[in-house]
Amino acid sequence: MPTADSPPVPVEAAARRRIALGPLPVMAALLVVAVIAAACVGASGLPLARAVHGLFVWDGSADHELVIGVRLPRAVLSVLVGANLAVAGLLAQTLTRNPLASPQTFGVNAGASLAIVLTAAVLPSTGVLGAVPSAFAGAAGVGAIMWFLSLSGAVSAVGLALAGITLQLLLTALVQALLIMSNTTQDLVFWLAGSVTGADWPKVAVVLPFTVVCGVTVLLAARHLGLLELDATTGASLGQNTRRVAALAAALVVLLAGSAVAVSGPIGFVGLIVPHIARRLPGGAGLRRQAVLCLVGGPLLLVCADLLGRVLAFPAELPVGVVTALLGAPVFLLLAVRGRGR
Amino acid sequence: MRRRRTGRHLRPWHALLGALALLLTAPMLAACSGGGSATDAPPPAGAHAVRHLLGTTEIGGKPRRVVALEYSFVQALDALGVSPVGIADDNAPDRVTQLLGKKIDYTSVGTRLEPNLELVSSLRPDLIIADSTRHAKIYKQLSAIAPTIVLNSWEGSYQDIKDAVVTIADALGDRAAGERVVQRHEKVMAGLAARIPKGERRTFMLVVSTPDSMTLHTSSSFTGSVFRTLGLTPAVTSDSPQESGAGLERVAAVNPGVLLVAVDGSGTAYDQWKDTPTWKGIAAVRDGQVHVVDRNQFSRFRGLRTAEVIAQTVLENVYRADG
Repeated sequence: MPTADSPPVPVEAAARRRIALGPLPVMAALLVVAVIAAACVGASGLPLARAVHGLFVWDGSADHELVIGVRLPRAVLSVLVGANLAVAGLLAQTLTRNPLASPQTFGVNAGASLAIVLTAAVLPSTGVLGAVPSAFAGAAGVGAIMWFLSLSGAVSAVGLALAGITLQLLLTALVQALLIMSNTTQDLVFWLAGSVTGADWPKVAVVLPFTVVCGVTVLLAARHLGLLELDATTGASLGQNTRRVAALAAALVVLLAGSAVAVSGPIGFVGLIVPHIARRLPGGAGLRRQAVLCLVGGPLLLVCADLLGRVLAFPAELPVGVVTALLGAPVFLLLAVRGRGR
Repeated sequence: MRRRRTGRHLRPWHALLGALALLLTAPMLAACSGGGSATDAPPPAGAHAVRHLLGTTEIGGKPRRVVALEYSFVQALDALGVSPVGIADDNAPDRVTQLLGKKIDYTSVGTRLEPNLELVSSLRPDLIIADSTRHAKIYKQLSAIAPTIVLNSWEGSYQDIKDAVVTIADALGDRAAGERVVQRHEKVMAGLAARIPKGERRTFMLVVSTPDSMTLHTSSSFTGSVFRTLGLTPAVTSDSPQESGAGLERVAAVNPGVLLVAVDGSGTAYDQWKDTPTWKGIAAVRDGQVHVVDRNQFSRFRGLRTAEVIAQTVLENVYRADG
């Protein structure tokens, strides 16, 4: 990524004027369209006109309750989770200077999943919503391990990716073991594929603060966070407290990914491919712009994937995590192959 | 690992092998011993052939040391007067007590999903009854331990379960006993069906409430086919017995007239949805026809006795008729 790595400060100021718009308005418009489409499509086969009526006319009718109470929270949850995962992926990739990094490949998603499944096995009645603290604990545990590994400097970028994948495999194996041993956890299988089926406003309320606070923090601290992309000595020579900034980035990854997994299960590939695409888009230079693109692109991908999951298996549905894997794997392979040619 | 096949003659090795097996994961166990043929010894004299889903098995005499790898088989055995020596009970012995309505002595052989083959073997069974969905892959290993028949329990319809009772009776050496048990049961069911008012037009559905979503049981599920036997209409007609991952909108779209919600424990989708306007708009909810039922009885067990329990529950809850 030769263009993306240019020093951010002067370019960003110039770029702000030159490519102030870029693909962002188009993506934002597409996202709005996707959210409205998500609110208009569903298992009940409500005619479009009635769905739109239900969306915009607050008359307390059954149509309205369905669109506002069931479909809209699902779309909004997809937006928030998509934003969280994409930004978490961007930060992980920047922090570790590793294009393979994402909450999934670093085992953060798996850590949160294991913690939730463990909670379900020990305290069966907490439900998924009650598992938010344990999701954070699991995400933080894995995040800490990966952070120490990356800070130690003893591990190369590839080694770090391997360590993350190893960790993910280990944690996933433990989840499997729990699923086999415990009856109560077997019910979590659908959720473990990554799903927004159970979305409702309380879940939106759980994840919204994390999206807003972490998103704003990333945008405000983008200049500092962006320097993480350079090696530590360069960052330090530019007057940065590298250690503190890295800790902030790691904490943000844990908060963003942990809250996402708590409400929707471990959805993969969003955190991996969206940052890559963001960097290649016009105007994708500099962490702040990349973060903005991720904040729009992640939701766009997840809302569309969920729509697709509902249409493909209609009237049943595919978990959105399955769809993102089906979409994400070929896209990532394509990016990898094209990236080599550069 | 090839020595495992000859371990039969080396008794002291058994404990060591058992410890080894604990260290190995089940798939590895399957891979290592999978090479052995299913028919070690020639069929004993007086053996009779029993046809089942994975072929024909020669069974000698009247087996009495039976291992059942699904709950429905336990109920069938009980109806035929045989108490299994081993049950894959998901390590939940209280379920077996509930399943049979009485306490029996048996050894747990682990979960239905991953039965412990060492434990099965240690019971020295003379018949193993396995499920076609969950145990087809370990059929060879099971057959190496004892004659094994494979029947459809996990995805079995009411008819499959009734047929299974006859097949199990056949394997026990008395097919006629199975036919008698089924006939007696059918009379009971006909009696229960007769008490359901004529002209019932509502649709019936069982859902299992799990965290975040529900699993819908369709017309081809066990409960769905019991509903049909009672002259009731299942709300979802499908060839696949279950539809998992159903969201609130899907349940509302099906809009059943009578909804049975199977739960065990709280924190499931039912708790999450029951106060929402969309849930309250479902026909069954408006008519007060949502009944929380026992998940073991309605979703896990599948048997003749369970069919009767389901019919009784419907009579008591939907029609306020005493069982």
